[in-house]
This record gives sequence, C-alpha cells and structure tokens, in this order.
Amino acid sequence: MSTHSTATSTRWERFRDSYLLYSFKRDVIAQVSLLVFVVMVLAALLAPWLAPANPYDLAQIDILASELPPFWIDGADPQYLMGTDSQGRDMLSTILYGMRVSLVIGFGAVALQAALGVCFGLLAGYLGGRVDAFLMRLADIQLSFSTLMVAIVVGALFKAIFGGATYSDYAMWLLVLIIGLAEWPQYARTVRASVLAEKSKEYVDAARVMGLRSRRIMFRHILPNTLSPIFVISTVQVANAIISEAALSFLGLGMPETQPSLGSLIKSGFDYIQSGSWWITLIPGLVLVVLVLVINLLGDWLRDVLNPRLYKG
Amino acid sequence: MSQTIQAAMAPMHQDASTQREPAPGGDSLLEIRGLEKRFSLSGDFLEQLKFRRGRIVREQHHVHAINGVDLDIRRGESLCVVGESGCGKSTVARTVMGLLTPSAGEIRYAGERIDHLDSKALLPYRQRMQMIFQNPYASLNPRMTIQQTLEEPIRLHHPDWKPAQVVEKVHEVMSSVGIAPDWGSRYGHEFSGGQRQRIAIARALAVDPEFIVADEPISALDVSIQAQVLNLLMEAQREHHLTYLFITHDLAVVEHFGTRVAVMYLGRVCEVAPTATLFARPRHPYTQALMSAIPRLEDDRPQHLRLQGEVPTPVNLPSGCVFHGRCPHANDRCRREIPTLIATDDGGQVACHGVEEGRLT
Repeated sequence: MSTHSTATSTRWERFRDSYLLYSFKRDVIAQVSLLVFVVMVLAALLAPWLAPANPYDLAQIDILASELPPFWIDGADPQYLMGTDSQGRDMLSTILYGMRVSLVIGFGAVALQAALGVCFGLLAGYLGGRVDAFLMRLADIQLSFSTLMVAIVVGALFKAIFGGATYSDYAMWLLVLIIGLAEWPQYARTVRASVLAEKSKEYVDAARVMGLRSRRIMFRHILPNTLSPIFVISTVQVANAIISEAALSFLGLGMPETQPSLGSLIKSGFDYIQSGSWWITLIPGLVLVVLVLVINLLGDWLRDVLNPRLYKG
Repeated sequence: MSQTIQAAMAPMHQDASTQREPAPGGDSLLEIRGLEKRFSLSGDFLEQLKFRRGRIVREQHHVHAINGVDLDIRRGESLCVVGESGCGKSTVARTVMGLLTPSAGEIRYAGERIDHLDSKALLPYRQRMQMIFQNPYASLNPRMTIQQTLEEPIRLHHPDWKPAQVVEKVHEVMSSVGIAPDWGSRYGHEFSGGQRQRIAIARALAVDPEFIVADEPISALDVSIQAQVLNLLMEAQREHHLTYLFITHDLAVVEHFGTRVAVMYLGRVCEVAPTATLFARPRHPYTQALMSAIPRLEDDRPQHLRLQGEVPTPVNLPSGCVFHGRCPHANDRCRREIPTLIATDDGGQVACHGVEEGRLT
C-alpha cells in the first residue's frame, strides 16, 4: 500500500523528497555559496592545523619580516603566502584566525539576539495588550540606539570598571553581548508578526480549550510554525553581525590587535595603505566581503524557498 | 429574570424523552444568564481621546457581539444555535469555552460558575467540555503528527497514565472516528478535510468529555462529507452520552440533528423551542421569516416572507426589541422595551411582545 509507505517514512526520506532539497539541487548560486561558506567555516575551525603560523604566539613573529608582499609580487618571501602585516605576522594565518573570531562573534551574537528576540516576540504577540505595548516600545527604544552607541557605552563602562587587560581577555564575548543586545528587536518584531498571524488560527484555540498552559502553547504550538521567517532573518543577521563586528573593530571598539578579527586586521592595515602595503587591508577585506556575500546569497535562496510573508530586509 | 426562566423551563421535560432521564430540577448542564460580550473598536486609551467642540473627551465605541443571552443546555440534548452571520452564535460558543471573557452575565456548568475562573481552576472543566472548530484545515497544528496531536490532551489531563496506556487510548479514539491508528505518524496536511475534521473530533473525544461545543463543524466541508461527520457526531453522542451546543446556519442540519433550537438575532436569543415545534410552528416573526426561507421540494410557489431593510449595526443597537426595525408587527412598545424570553404553551420560549400580548399567534 502506497499510503503506508509514506506513513512510515523516516526523517531522512522526508528530507530527500522535500522541496528544500529539490530547489537546492537546481540553484547553482546556492550550491556555490554553500560550498564557499562550508570551506570558509572549515578553514576557520581548523585554523590551528591549517595555518602556517600562530599569530597569537609572539615567539613566531619576526618584526624584521614585516610588510612583506604576497607571493605574486616581487620581494615576497615564499614562507608568507599572503605576505605579512606591519608586525610581521603571517597574513594567511592571521586571516584564518581572524575569520574564526568573526564567525564566533557572528553566530554567538545571532544566538543571543534570537534567544531574546524570540522570547520577547512570543510574549508580545501571544499575550498582547500591555505586555505587547511595553515590549514593542522597548524594541523601538533599543532600535533608536545604534549598535555603535551601545558598543561605546558598554565598552567604555567595561574598560573603566575592569581595566584594559581584562577587556582584551573578554573582548570577544563582550562583542557578542553588545551585538546581541543591540539587534534583538529585529527578531522580536518578526516573531511577533508571525505569532499574531498564527494566534488567530484554530489550532491555538484548540490548545487553549484543551487547557494547556500559555508557555506550552507558545513554545510547542506557535513557535514551530514561525520558524521559517526566523531561519531567514538568522542568515541575514549573521552577515549583519559579522559586519557590525568588523565595523566596531575598525573603529577600535572591538577586538584588540593582539587577537585580530577580520575587522581589526583591516584597521591595522589601514595606516599602511598609503605607503604601498595595500594587502594588509585589502585581503582581509575581500575575505570579509566573500563571507558576508555567500551568507546573504544563502539567505536569499532560503527566503525564496520558505517564502515567509513577513520579513523584508 | 432568571427565576422566571427557571419556572418557564419546568414543564418542558417531554421533549427530552430520547435522552437519559434528567434529574428533576437540576437538568441543566450549562446555564447562561444575561451574557454580554462587547469588543472595543476604539483602540487604546490615547486613541480614545477626541477633540470635540473645544474640549477633550474620551470616546469609546463597541461592537455588541452578544447582549443579554439566556440559554439552558440540558444533559444529553443537542441544542442547535442558528442565526445569520454576525448574530453572535460563535461568540456565545467561544465565551462558553472560556476563549473569550464575558463583559457581563454568568455561565454555570453543572451549577458552578465558570466564567470568572482562572486557567488553573478551569482545568477540570476543560476535560469535561471540549470544542470542535469550523475550519479543519486550521484546527490541527501543521507541525505535529496526528499521534502527537491526540496524545497531548490525554497526557495533560491524565499525567499519571503510562505511555502504553496513552497510546492505547489514542488508538481507541482514532478507531472510533474511522481513522486507522497506524496513520498516526502522519501530519494533518496529508489528510482530506473530512478526515481532518474526524481527527479534530477524536481530539475532543480523547479526554472523555460530557459536553461538546461544535462551532459550525461541517460548514467548511463538502456536502458529501457533511453527512458522514454529522453521523459520527450523533454516534459519539449515543456512545458517550454527550451534550452538544451546536452552532450552525444550516437549517436542514438543525432538523436532522437538534433536540432543541435557539434562534439568535443581533446578539440576542429570540426563540428557543424543541426542533419539531419550531419547524412546525415558529412563533417569533424573525423565526417565521427564517423558516420561510428554507427551500422545499414540494412548493412550486415559494412564499418567502421578505424582510425589509438590513440587519442593524451591532455598534449602535436599536432601542427596544432588536428586530423592531424590520418586523411587520412592531408597535410602540417594541421600539421602547426589550422583550424577555417568555414560555409558550408548546414548550418553547419566545422573546416577542406581540406573542406575549396575543397579537401574534
């Protein structure tokens, strides 16, 4: 019986027959983007094994080898494939390690945004009334502070209270916190809009008539039905968070020079761009652009597949 | 007012002959008294402030979805509520189930007031009263399998049951509505509308309720499936001794299904009567017009009672009888005074000054 074969289909079989996979197989851009993204993530994760040198290890840094150009330009040292920066760090290694920091901050910040935004959005949409008004005004206020302002205030406070050395140790987590706190309203608004649409459907009434508690209705019944837009904004937000991090680091509010992220690498090279050492800025800049581009392209594809009605980026 | 209605109910036992013998005096499972529900149209406080003739005033407008509904639902009966769109049928159903809080009035279930209880205190009643919804395409959670959907109420109301017991109960209710138990791992969208509605009925039956509110349960279904679902509901009533509050606008269904019928117009009940009585001899002018609109096989010269005008807006209710603007028999008293339900000699109740005064038969 054909009906029974579908009834007993496993998760894998359902995925194999899904529209998600079907559309992925036919979308070259999505395939290339995913490939590039996976390669970059793997390279970042495996940086300690892949990178020729460890930029955190001061013993490996040779100040005499500073500002060496990449391999295709005369005067390059084949030991440093992508050249070296002003302190003599190997650019390739530094970029791999820097991408690690950027990705951790990007995903960490988005996880925090999503956790806050989903909870607040669910509460606002489901409970409505004053809770809704309060949380949404809070979101408005939050959005009226730019990420930059939050970073300046939090960073300055942290440095003032704990000192610069502690700040360097915790800079990565502080950035996760700052970007996470600054951008949660994006999630809260999207989730709230989806919740309002789902709440009026009868399965929610059925769950209420059953006597289920609000928390279970929110997380077990409504949340799974709002996942599509959440996935889509997550991709966009990861890209945004990576850019925010780079921007903050570029302004000197982010990662310290001793723990380079892509942004702080760009910044450290910026002073030398006029003196001819353009690669210190340009190569990490290109890596950043490619990383953000493939994430955005994946997000675009996902949005087309899941077709959420609500998010406009 | 409630005492006069109680008294009026007393000689009305004869139509309950097909049901279990009601306990004398306390045969009402559910009593609705003076129920009102208003929905605000004016937004929040700041939006209500208006500038009128040089001063700031607070203006509020309401939709009076139901205003002063009195109903008794007796053990074992199927009370059908009929009326046109927007007359408040569904609001009554949703208020009874606690999905809406009433603006005024009270609801008693088996003698206990339930309209002001919080969700925890309401939990025991949730097991005894269940609801079936209109749209079977929206009433099943698209991300849950049928097995999960049906297990959820059982686990909630019987936390001490073993998993095997829960599964057994799920299979039992699935079989009872004609859905093969091994389809449980499927999702709602893999079923047809009729099957989904049967699954929704199974979900309501899973906690062994005694009272089911059905809000237009068949109006979203194919005609060929409607009879199937109706018969399933009637079968379930026989097996589980259920009491139904059945919201519909389909008078043919009422004739087939209902023990008694309540006719609603603009948020008020105009007539309640045993089904056969109502169909044979409608008393309220609105009911008469409604009944004359049923197409019949035998009449080749339809004699519809044509009502003049439109249903008034529920935002500004008419004074007196809500029907007076369209009633051919309305007089001054009808425009002034709101009629209450009075008992008629054939076992029904009707809210009409004309019937009360003997102007109308």
